[in-house]
Amino acid sequence: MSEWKGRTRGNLLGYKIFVLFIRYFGLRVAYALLRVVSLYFYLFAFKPRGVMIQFYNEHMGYNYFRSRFLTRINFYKIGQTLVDRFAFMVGRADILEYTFDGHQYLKQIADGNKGGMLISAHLGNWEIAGNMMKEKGLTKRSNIVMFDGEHEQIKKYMQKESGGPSFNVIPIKNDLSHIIGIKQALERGEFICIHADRFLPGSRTITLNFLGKPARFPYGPFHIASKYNAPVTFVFSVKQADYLYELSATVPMDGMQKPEVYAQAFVTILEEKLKAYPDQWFNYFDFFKMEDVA
Amino acid sequence: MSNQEVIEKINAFLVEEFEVDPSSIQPNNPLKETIDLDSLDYVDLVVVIENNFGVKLTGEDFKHIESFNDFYNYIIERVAVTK
Repeated sequence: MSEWKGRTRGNLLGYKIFVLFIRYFGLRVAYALLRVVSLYFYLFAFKPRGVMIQFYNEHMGYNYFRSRFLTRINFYKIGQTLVDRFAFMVGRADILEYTFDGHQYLKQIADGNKGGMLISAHLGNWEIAGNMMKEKGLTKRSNIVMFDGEHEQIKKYMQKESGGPSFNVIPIKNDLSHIIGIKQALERGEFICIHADRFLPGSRTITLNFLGKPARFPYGPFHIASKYNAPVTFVFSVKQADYLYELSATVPMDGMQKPEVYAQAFVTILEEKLKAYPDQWFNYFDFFKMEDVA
Repeated sequence: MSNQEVIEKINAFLVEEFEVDPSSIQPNNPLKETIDLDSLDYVDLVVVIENNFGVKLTGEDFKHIESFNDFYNYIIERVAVTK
């Protein structure tokens, strides 16, 4: 899984068009436009299409035609998650509804004084979860630890349109700053939200059995959870229907367990979610590649 | 805790916890290059310093640390402040 380069796909004009559609015509019309755009990507984005078909076919056991179908749906669904994200930013997300399984666990963490590690994956749409948590009264500040891979122009545009995201971003850098940032946020009793399914070449990883084959996962999120003694929960936000999300949080695991324990628990939940929502797996690279690219 | 005790304690955990070669621990040697820590080692370093000295590291302070000597002085100053 080391081929991920830390950059997001898409160009500024595309983002502007979608924000315009959402702002003036609403989500339904934006989704209609998205059907055309996602078809274009399905037809011409050869590499991610091939990767996804292979993933569904070889690793999830779907036949070839079902794998192609799931890939087509997958391209539409990732577009929907981006459109929904814009809709929240520009205040046009009132049509979206959600269920919340495990709200009490997040509340329990929020009421404690040790902060909490909310570990997720590129399955579904975490940013939507952040927005919906606030609507549910979980006002504890969230810090998202992420590779700062979005194009600068797009970031500036979204900042201008929306006033910026409703959470604090802790960018992963080559110095100590993000480690300190995470520690300080936990000491303030805040949430740390981090994805544990991608890593950059050279990072420390842990190899676990995933869908019956060995795959590498980043060691960092589990190591941090272990050392900084924060409760850990695995959080996912997946689309059940066009306008309905399902948020879920697992029973918190107490801090100070071994990183391997957290990692194994994460992979178990990730497999369950992936099997339930295969069309919302948004990792467009060979997840089972064992060696780093030089 | 005297300054010398702080230095000895730092050197001891660098050797024991981070497997740093004792002969490479020289006051003027560059800290980061010598001990060759990745970001997850920093996670451990932050915890070890806090547990041993009751000092909370801040990212901004740590950016100015170049040599072992800088590191010793930083911890010594912070220990003095927290007394």
